[in-house]
Amino acid sequence: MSRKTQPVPLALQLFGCVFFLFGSTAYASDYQLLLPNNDRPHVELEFENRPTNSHPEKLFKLFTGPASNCCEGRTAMAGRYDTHETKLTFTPAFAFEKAQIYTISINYPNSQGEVIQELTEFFIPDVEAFSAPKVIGIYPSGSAIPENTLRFYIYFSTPMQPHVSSRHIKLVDAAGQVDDAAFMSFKQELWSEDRKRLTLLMDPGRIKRGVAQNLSMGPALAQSYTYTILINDGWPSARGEPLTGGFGKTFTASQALRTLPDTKTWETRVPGQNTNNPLVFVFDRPFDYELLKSAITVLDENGQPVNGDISIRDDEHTWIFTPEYRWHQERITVRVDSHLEDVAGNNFRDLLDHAMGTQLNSSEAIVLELSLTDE
Amino acid sequence: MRYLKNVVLLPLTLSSCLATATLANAAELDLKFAGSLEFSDTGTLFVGDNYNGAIYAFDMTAADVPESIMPVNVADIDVKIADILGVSPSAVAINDLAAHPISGEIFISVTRIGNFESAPAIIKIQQDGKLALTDLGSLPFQKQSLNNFPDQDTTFRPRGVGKNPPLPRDLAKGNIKLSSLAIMDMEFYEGELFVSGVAYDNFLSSLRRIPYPFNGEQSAASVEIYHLSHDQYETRAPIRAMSIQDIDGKPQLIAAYTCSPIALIALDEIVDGEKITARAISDYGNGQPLDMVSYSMQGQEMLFITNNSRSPQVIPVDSMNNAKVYTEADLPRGGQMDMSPQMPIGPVGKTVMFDGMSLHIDALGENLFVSLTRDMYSGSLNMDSNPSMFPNRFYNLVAEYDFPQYYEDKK
Repeated sequence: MSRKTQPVPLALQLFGCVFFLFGSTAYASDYQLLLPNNDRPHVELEFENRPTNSHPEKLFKLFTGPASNCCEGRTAMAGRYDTHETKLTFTPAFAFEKAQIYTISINYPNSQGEVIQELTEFFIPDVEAFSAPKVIGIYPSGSAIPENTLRFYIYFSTPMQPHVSSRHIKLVDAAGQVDDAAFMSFKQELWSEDRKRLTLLMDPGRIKRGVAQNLSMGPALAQSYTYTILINDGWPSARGEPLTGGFGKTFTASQALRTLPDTKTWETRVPGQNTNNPLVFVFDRPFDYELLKSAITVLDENGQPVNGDISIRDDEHTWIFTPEYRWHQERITVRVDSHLEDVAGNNFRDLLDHAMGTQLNSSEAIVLELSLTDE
Repeated sequence: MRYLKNVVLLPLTLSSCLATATLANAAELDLKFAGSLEFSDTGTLFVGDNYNGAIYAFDMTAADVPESIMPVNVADIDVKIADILGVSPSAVAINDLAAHPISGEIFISVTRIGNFESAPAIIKIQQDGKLALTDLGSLPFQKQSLNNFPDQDTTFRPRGVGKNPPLPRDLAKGNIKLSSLAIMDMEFYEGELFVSGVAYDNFLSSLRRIPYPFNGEQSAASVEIYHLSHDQYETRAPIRAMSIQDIDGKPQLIAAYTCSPIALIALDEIVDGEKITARAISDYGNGQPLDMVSYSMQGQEMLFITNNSRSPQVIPVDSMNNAKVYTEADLPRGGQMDMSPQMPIGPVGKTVMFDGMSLHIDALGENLFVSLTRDMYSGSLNMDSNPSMFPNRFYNLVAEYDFPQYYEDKK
């Protein structure tokens, strides 16, 4: 039923076209093939002589998938051919997808004038996923942190394999003694959704005074002593690449934090009206790095959030809010969520390690009214 | 008549071009999604973009005219489309199909799902069966943004069967935006584009009418229907497939809904800001309509309606003249299932044989249908052209006629 055309023998077709391409030079000599990569979005063929751009698709074509499945009966990728001096390039209509295998089929005549098909497979690696994972930070970041510190955050450069943290993370004292029971062990590890941040809890049983592990083993961290959190090589990323370079975070345990945090102890730097200057709070103690990103909000006179960037500095002692636009408000309200915790897990309502029957503070937030200075 | 029409159209075209320059104000093609497709009689391709809330009209009127339009068959068309786009077949979503009424080329709108972003593409299948990516950027186009486009955040509310809670497979629906229903089907009729879908921020089922060439004018009316099998008036679920035919002496839009009433709306009822009550004349018995193709068979105008849950339905247009309009007074209270004595009801035509499941179908020339058909046994997706009077291939059928002895016995 369907219309048919007389097929032209393949070799003839190719020969004819290659001859045409090279014009007076009867046969092609060598070419150089440059594969696409993260910086080069196209395939490039470089010749000794300038090719014409007539029917470049007969000289080379791109196919989706591996060479083992190429190219009989397959449909070539859509794209654009360009000629620049002695180069012929193919730029796909849609950018090459990372980690997708493609095959370049080149048909060119050898010195005897026979047309040879050469298949070259390539893919553009996903740089992040294929590079060895690294630890890029640990919080609290200070070199001295309270002996009753509750929580550490470990940040990785790439998503990691879960359920192996206890094999790869150790707390070591100055004498090189490993404390195997320092960190809380759960069936479920505490990973961020992208599995690039692990939350590590010190065993609260050893922090809270007078409970079982505290009595039998003593606290894991003792004031004035120096410790190192060691992360070993070999921890595999989600893609199976082992961590290299290791990581060590050394700190000295300082005096325990055993008082409720209080905004009255904060040093406040109020920005001038009609400036872009930041609003700054300097704390009396280090606060939880992750909670600081969301627990303090700035509202305008109508109770609407003011947009801006938050940065956390000085080992989590300083909170800096830079507004997106100039401050036009005369007054602002700062709302501090009372669940904001210091590094020892104390929030504005409750101490982590409080005596039985202690009266709790029940407010949801501490509200600070600030007048912007006129400048 | 034709001569007169042309004379009238020329100044119209000129003025609308001028208007567009100030209207659209965008020479760069910014298509984000290629969804619903529809051709004008002369070969302008309308493309519905649910992301931009706009309809694009690509001028393809200069296409080659073949001596005659031939059937085109392409096996594993999803694999071939993926090959062209440089991704695996699972990274291609097929959205619609339309055949150019003059060139017989077939166009398929797809979404190419990349690692980080999706992109629209329209694939052309030539009469010789060759596939190519359509270079939309090289075509003259007009863009018409839609008024009262629904919000782009609200998603479906997942439901389970009866009182059962939704299963994980049902919950996935909760990630789909209701605005994906904003441009369901398009129908070009006498210089106007009719568009069904949901509109306004409360997602009302609507019909839009937009003169083409686009001049900035557009109307939208909301459509209510008495849904026979649900026994309730419905205002949200949109018209899935439609056609415009002369019924009872005037042009009327024939609207097919999910589960599965068919209703009539006279074109003169589609007035901006109005609320229309569509006249439900039949229900052919559940399922979700996919496409409605008008064609003629043995001199009779017919509608071929495909559905995701059943074989296609063929309804003679003539049977809809003087049809009874059903209201809640005509049926017993409560939902009517397929097996209720009342169903099917009204002029529903006939269920016809179709080998496999048609994902999208259109008329190809005078006597053919072209369909993207999912094969029952292999699961492959093939583009098949078959005679509209019997749109099947015999590949999967084994009958008496397949035995060589049958013919020997007949000698």
